[in-house]
Amino acid sequence: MMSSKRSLTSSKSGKQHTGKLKEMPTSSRTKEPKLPDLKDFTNVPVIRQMDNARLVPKYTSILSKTVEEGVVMDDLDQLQHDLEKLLSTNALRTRFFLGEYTQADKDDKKTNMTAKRKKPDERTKFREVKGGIRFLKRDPFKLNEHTYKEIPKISLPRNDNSDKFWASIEPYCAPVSKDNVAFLDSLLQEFSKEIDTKIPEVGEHYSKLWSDELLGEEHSVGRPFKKIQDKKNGVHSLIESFGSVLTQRLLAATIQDKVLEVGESASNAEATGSTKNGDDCKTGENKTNKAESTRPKPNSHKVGTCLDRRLLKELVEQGILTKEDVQQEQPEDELLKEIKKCQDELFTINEYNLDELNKLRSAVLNDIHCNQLKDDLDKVDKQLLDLYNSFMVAVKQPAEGKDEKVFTEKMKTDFEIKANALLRQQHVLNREINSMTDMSMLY
Amino acid sequence: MPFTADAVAAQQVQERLKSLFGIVHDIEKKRTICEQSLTALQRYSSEDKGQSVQKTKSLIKAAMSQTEAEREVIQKALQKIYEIRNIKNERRIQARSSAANKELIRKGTWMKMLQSSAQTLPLFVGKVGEKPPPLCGAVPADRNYIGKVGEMVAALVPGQGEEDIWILAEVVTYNAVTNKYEVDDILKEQNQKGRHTLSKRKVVPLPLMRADPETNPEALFLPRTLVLALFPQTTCFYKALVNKPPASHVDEYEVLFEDQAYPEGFSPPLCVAQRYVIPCRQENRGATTLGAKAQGSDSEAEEVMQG
Repeated sequence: MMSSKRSLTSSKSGKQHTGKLKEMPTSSRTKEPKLPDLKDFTNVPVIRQMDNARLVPKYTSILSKTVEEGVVMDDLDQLQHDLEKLLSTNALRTRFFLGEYTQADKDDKKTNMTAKRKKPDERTKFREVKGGIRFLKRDPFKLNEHTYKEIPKISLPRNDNSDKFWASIEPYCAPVSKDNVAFLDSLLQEFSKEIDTKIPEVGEHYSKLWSDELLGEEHSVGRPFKKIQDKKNGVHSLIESFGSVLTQRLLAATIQDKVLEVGESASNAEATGSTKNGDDCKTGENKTNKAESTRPKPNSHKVGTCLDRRLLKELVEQGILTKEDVQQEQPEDELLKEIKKCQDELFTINEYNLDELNKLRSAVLNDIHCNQLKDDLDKVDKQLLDLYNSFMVAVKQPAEGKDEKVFTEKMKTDFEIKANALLRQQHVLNREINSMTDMSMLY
Repeated sequence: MPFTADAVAAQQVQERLKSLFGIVHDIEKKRTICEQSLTALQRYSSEDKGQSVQKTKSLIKAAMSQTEAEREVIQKALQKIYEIRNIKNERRIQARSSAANKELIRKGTWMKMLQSSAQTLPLFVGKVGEKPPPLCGAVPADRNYIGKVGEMVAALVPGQGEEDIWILAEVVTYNAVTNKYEVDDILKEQNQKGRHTLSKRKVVPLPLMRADPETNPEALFLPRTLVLALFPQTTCFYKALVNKPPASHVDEYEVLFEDQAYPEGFSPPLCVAQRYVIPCRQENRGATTLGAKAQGSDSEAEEVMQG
């Protein structure tokens, strides 16, 4: 049902368009345009009342019902569809009219214009074609038919992309000036400054720093139970943390009698503490830790490095190891190496940059000189032209008695001398410029 | 007559049906006027050759205003119909919550209901220059739109296999704190295992309005758009390509479902109502295992507490 309506509308509108386009120019030329050319209301989207029974059957059947019968629930779905069809057609009609109405409005204005101006049609045609929106303006119905959107006014943006492009290019094509030289100078100055490249002395390694702190803590009074506990529990793992078996044995031997004593006394003290706070979770945990003493503690490593240092110190003091041995063990400073390498690289790059800048600067100076020469050449050219003009004027001047010939002769030689001088100048300048362009082409 | 909610609703419906009858007659009157002015315009444009632009303009203007009047009254009638449907729907939701397992509706009946509900979804016919609102046709919902109770949604739920599937479901509640929906499978017998609790991004509300292809084609999916569409006679959504958008307000989409059973990878064109075609978001495919992770860390925490 719907499709029959649609096809009706579209086929007619198609016919209408072709007619319209052809007739438009003639209508705009005549003083009183015939509107039938523009409007064809035979295909307004509408559902005629005589088509009710065919197109909107449920709606029609409800119309013929009495008030008592009224609308029932079963009618609802079909009625909704019929109403929607009416609404849709209605909306299309509104759009159709809107197109026609604005069309009529436009045409009204156009006739006014025709009355005032002599040749308005050419102008309008040109404008519309230029804008590329001729169809949109001429045929709003077609627009509505296809898009159903209201686009009455479309103004295509002016295409000024090429202008923009050339505007952006222009600064790069401008002749070099003194400012550019100044800028280069400032760059050169900046690059040739001495840079402070002193690398600060390497401080103490963080592990040593930490172990020092730890040592300090251990020696301080009122040390907490936990630390001792950790130390004691960590003893075995500590010893194991040393790489070689020999050191391990040495350590085990040296520590055994000393540290364990401390550990025992500490555990005694802790035991009394735990009896006091039997419910305390933490002490309970510590107790279990005591039992499994091989379990590594988180800070056992720190204690280890601390012990390591102490051991080294002791060994040096006792003369078992020499200071050189100790220092040899220190790894090479890779960071310093890297920093130095980077610095060297930067120096090289800076040098290269300076070099290039200098080259550039000389090129710029050259170019400026070249520009000056060109300006001079232009001036000479102009002078030459002026001379030529004045010569021609003098030649054409009406003769004034007898003096005519002498005057002209004198003038002629005068002009010749001047012209020769200028031409020579021109030649010199030209040669100079040519010799320089090769240089400037390098950059 | 007992004064129950059902009775009240029935009365409301009756009132509206009555006024609808009156409005239908109003529409016919307006159409008569409209047709008269249109006939006048047509006669004027075809018979009187030496007409003035002014006269035509005023005739068009008159026809336009009458068309507008007609539109208003038609919309009023449709409004009444939508109101009746809303009342019905509300009753249905309440009945469901009060007696959850009153009766099992057969699957075939459900399919018919789904079909008719899609066909009777309100139609959006935009005025000139009016944009289609969210959830009209292909226009997606607002970002912070929350589906109302009883509203139909597509929900991504764990399927039998590995992959999650999109099912047709109904919103039960929405928890604003957790940003999670509780949804019921539309097929009641599927809800034995319990409701689905899903995060917001696994729930896509279905359109609340149909778009009129003749006035608002911009609110329809274009051909070759990848969509999720309800496979006919099922309650599951599958990926499909739009083959042909509806041509009129009663038409449906023609879609090609992705189907490996066919050599070309797609099913032959099938019709799916506007209501059951939603945009397909790629990121929705992969389901995360975020829930499992959260559970694991919880149990760990418990162990720590006991230790």
